[in-house]
Amino acid sequence: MENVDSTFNEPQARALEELKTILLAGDRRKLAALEKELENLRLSLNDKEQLLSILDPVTIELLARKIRHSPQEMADVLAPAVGPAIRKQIASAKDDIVDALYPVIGQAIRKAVAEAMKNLARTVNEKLDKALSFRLLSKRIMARLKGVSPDEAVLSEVLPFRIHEIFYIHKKSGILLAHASLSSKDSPVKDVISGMLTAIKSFAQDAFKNNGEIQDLNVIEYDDLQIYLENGKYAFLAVVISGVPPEQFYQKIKNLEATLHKQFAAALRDFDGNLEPYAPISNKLANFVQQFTSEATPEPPRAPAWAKVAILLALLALFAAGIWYFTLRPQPQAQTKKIITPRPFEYSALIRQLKQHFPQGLKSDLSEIKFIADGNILFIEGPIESQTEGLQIAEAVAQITGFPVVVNALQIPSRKNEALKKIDQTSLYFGKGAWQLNGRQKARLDSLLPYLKIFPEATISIMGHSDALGNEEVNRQISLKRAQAVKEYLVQRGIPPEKLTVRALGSTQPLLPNNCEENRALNRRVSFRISGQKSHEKSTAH
Amino acid sequence: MKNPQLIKKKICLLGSFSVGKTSLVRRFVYDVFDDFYLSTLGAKVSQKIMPPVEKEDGSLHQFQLMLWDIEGQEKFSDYLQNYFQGSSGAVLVLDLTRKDSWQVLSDLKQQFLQLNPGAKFVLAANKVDLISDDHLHIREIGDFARDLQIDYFLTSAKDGRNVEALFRHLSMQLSE
Repeated sequence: MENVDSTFNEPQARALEELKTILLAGDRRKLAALEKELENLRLSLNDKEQLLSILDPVTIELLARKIRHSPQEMADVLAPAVGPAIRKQIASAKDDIVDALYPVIGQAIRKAVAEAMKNLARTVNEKLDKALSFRLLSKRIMARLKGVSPDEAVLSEVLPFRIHEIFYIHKKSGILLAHASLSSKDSPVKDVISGMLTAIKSFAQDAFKNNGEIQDLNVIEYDDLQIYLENGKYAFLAVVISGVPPEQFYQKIKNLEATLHKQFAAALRDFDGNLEPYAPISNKLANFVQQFTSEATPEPPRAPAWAKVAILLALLALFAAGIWYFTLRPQPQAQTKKIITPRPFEYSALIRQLKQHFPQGLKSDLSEIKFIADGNILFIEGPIESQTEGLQIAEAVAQITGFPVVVNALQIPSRKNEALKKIDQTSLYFGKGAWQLNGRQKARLDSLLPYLKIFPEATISIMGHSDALGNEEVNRQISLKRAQAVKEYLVQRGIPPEKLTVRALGSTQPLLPNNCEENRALNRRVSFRISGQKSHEKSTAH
Repeated sequence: MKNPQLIKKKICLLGSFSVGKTSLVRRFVYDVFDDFYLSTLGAKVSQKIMPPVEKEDGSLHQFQLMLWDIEGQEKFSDYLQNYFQGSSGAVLVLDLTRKDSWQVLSDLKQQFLQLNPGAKFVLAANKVDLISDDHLHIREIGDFARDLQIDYFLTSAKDGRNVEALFRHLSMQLSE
């Protein structure tokens, strides 16, 4: 081209240039436009905002396509970022997340609760299958009478209430004043437990003080055990329990604390570590534990004898119901006189009518019988002398009250219960300074022998007491001699000596205040107590 | 022979951190020593029944000591007050090798006495196994105990030196 150009003269070259301008004008315009476009594109790539606006329309589509074609690859790429992203989102918009997840989690929780309830129901059903229906019916009826939900009563049957241990602890020092336990083994660390409980209480008081106001710790939970604390002014009770406490438990524990406070407040105010004045408390605590244990413990559980009693009672009830049905069956001539719906009855009137019903009298004590009405069901329970009398009483009650269903739970009391009552109620009384047994006392001991023999495994505590006149040491010695005299006689009469424990209590556990001779005569006594294991009882003298 | 009368007494161990309160209790109660430092969290209660003692009137009694080992106290505070109340006595513990552990004891003793008037004290100058017999601190401890007006024992929880005697001495004071 250069050669060509150089061959043109100036006018030709100008003409050629004009020609080129004319011919290339379109291309040059296009080139300029392309350059401008290229420049814009370059600027767009450098400008983040512009770049985003360019990519925005395609990003979603691109991601969607990528996820569709390579889901695993995308998951691998995104996974590390998802966790932190969720955490960050929860931190910045917790409420939104909760709102979003609520329907899902709510459903999950409902499912979990339903599952748990199903398990509970299964347990309840298993328990119900195993339990004696009379017993549960009784519980339900009792619960309704007491204003407690019958289902709660069944629950308490499934999760039986136990008092495992009870501590009476000096509040300031944490020193254990008295202790009782369900277990026959005496815990070697009970004093340390008392101290630590007091330390925990103190810590809680200090840590959770509300505007200087002292707040007491009431419950400590550990596994399936609860330590319930009943706080008094100078001492507190710590009760280790499991299961569902019966309604009256809390009131009873308050009452116990109040009783102990009333009795020992003066001594506790100036407590110096001497535990002698508090010796009687252990028995009170043991009785308290026992009271709830006997209430909660099913009568001989799962033993063949128990099953027999259950079957027998069921058969008796059916039999009795059959008789009543027969008796109450509408009879053509007497239809108008028979009442087959329950009518309100008054207890003393019912007893009066029953007595009239049996003019020849009964061996069973009618005043011991309880009547519990629940809808159309009347539940009767109590001790009777014979099964025949039980049936007769139940039949008479059905006739008098007009209840269509009468559940007969009248029972001949168990020999052991009777024996326990007899042993507990037996006391031998002594003259002033006397300890030798007279003929009458020996006869009383003889009558006690068959009852003592009912408990071959148990230990019998023989507790000697004195009045409060004179020197306490002398009194203790006399109380010891009284208890020993009884022990010697019982050994002579065939009770193995290792089953007998002697306790010299002096005047520490008076039956009545020692303010007159009449009362003092009743305080000079020997009393008895049965305990499950020998190690459970501590002898204070030998 | 008559059974001795059992009397329970709450005893606190007072002193700065790491002076050996826990080790003294472990030596006294379990006759063991752990050569590692275990900071006491809050309070730990242990018990020890002392041999029976005959009183002047001929009667026998026996102390069950409830030992409250409370975390190192640099100064008296409200929560310590809760732990200290109802005590019959205290073992003041110092570290013979650490002079800073001596200074807190005077205040602690006074505050403890205000809470428990009539409380009995004994001083444990602990970790004697770590210093020589002619160490300056050994010479100073007598004056220090005199100022505090309490009896002292040079103790070692590590080798058990005087630990039993320390608590026996406190028990004797409690029975007076």
